[in-house]
Formats: sequence, structure tokens, C-alpha cells
Amino acid sequence: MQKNKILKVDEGEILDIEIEEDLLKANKELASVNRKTFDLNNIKSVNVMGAIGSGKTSIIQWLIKELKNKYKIAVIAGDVTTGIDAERIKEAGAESIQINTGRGCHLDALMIRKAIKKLNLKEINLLFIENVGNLICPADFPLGTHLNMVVVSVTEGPYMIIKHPFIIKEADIVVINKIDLADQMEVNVNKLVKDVGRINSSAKVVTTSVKEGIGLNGLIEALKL
Amino acid sequence: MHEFSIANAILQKILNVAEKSAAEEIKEANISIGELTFLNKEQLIFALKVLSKETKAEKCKFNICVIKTKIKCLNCGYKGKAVYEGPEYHILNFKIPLNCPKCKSKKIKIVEGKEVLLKNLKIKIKIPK
Ligand SMILES: Nc1nc2c(ncn2[C@@H]2O[C@H](COP(=O)(O)OP(=O)(O)OP(=O)(O)O)[C@@H](O)[C@H]2O)c(=O)[nH]1
Ligand SMILES: [Mg+2]
Ligand SMILES: [Zn+2]
Repeated sequence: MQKNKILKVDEGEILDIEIEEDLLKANKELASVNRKTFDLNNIKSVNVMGAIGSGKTSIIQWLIKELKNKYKIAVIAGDVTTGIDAERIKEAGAESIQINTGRGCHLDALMIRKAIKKLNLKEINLLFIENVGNLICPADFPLGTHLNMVVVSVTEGPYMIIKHPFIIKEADIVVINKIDLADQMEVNVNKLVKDVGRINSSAKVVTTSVKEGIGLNGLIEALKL
Repeated sequence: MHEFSIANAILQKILNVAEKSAAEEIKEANISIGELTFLNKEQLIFALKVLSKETKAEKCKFNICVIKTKIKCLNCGYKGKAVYEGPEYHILNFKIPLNCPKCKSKKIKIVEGKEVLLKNLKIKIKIPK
């Protein structure tokens, strides 16, 4: 507007500053920088989201055990305070980096940017990122991964999918886990699968039970691994 | 919790601008949030007030307005207001746009309604003598 004019201001004058900056967009831009880093290093990356306790770590462990001879795998685990998940990943046989998010409720692209600097990118070709257990915030903060996977479990009840349409919309793969407990919980798994289709018809849905070893092959197929 | 991490991002940005423009005090901040961000206006203001204690934004008045949802249809090209499907989608007091009002396609993109926009600031500046 009046950028060329020299403004004369008295001490204590009030100024208006236009900013017009979308704070979520800054994250998106950083996410695309992360994506470039993955691509340059030929690393396939998966953002694993889902509610607390839905089985994210169990599923990552499961995949590592099955795939560790075929891929060089690393895991970035976001946890509110503990390092328990990172320890479980090491036990399963993959390199892991822990991000303590403190009171933050999701990982963001900047945290991932910092974490991947600690990885030897030449030494890995498959990266799982375990997001903080939460079905709301991570949907707003893409990390730059090739695939977004959402893990829900039947123990979260029959409305889990339709109550969280945004994260389902962002998902490439939706895993419905703990199907061994479906009868006990009186949850109709087919209904959950249909709910996903109504919200996001292009997402692949896989039903699993880590406990009983059901669905692993379907999951590996959905991940194109 | 979501409000706190968003509030923190907003406040960092505000303090950053204040620093660059030699502000003595931040008087007012205008923020727009998309209705699909799941942010609760009152909780966000509360979080901003808590986090801005003992900063130059301590006395800042935070004005927040809500941006309505707009979609674009990837099938027919419709651009505009979203329509809502069935009562079961009215969750958490949000209505969820799911398909295009013109061709009913589900292949839609949300073009407005998900932003957290810091629009402008009113600052009191300090002139070095
Ligand atoms: N019955 C049953 N239990 C399971 C299954 N998968 C995981 N669990 C159990 O569910 C609990 C939580 O699993 P985790 O893998 O830690 O879940 P998570 O999503 O990583 O949890 P957070 O990181 O704390 O959010 C553990 O006690 C698992 O043993 C399953 O398929 N069936
Ligand atoms: Mg875990
Ligand atoms: Zn249309």
C-alpha cells in the first residue's frame, strides 16, 4: 500500500501489520521437503496413525519381523513421554529413533525433519513413523510420507470410523485391528469396513489380529511391500 | 491439547513478527480458523492467554473468526459451499462435507475450512531516542 512513503511515527504509535500466513501451510511445505529427502534416498515411508492402544507398535513390530530380511527398516516413534515403543522396535530388529513430543498431541513435519537427520539414510529403504496416539490432530499435520496408514481397533467401539472422518479421508490404508475381540465387543467388523468406504472410497481396508496372526499378508500387499 | 499446540504455533509467529518490527507491545491479533480444524474458539483463546503470559503479547486481544467450509469437486469442477450427508455425520457439532452437491461425487477436495490463519497484528512500537 504505502510502502514507499516514509512513515513518521511518534513514540508509542500503534501500527497495523498484515501477515496473512497460514500456519498449517508452513507444515505442508516442510512435509514436501521431507518427501524429497525420502525420494532422493529411495526410502519408502509410512506414517502410522491411530488411537492410543489400537496396536500401532504391535503392527510395526509384526511387519519388521516379517520383512527385515527383505528391507532395511528404521522407525521413528513419537511418544508423549516414554521410550517404551522405541525399545519394542529394537527388540523386533530395526533401528529406531524416539521423539518425545511432551504435551504435543501429534508429530509435525519439522520434528521429522530433525529426526531424519539422525538416521543414516543410505542404510535404510523403509521407514515407519509411529505418530502419537490420537485420531484428530495428526490429520492436520502431514509429515511428507508416501503412505498414510490409520490403525483402529474393534475395542474402540462401533462408531470409531464415522466419528473421525478427517483422518480417514487422509488415509491410504485403514487397518481394523484386534478382530479376535470383535464378538466379545459386539462390534460388526463388516460395518466398520463399509464406513471407511463411505468416507474414503479409495482407501484400502485391511482387517487384522496381531494376536492371532490374521491379515499380515493382506497388509503387506496393501503397503505394496 | 490440540488447541495448545496450535496456540503455541500462533504465538511463536506473533512474537517473531514483533521481534522483527521492534514492537514494544502487541495490542491485538486477528486470527481466522477453518471450521474443519476442530479447534474450539474459547479453548484456543484460553490457550493463547496462558501461553502469552510474560511475553510481549501478554495484554494482547485475540480476535478469532471462523472460516466456513468450501469444497471443489474433482469430478465436475463445482466450487463452493459444501453439503452435508445424513444426520449421523453431525458429529462434535461439525457437519462433514462428503459429496458434491451438483454431481454427488465423493471425490471432493476441501479448499477452505482447514486453515489456521494469522491475518494481522496491531503493535505498539518503540522508537529508539
Ligand atoms: N487382543 C488383541 N490385542 C492386541 C492386538 N494387537 C495389539 N494388541 C494389544 O493391545 C495393546 C496395545 O498395543 P500397542 O501396539 O502398544 O498399541 P499402540 O497403538 O502402539 O499404543 P500407543 O503407542 O500407546 O498409542 C497391547 O497390549 C497389545 O498386546 C490384537 O490384534 N488383538
Ligand atoms: Mg505405540
Ligand atoms: Zn461434482
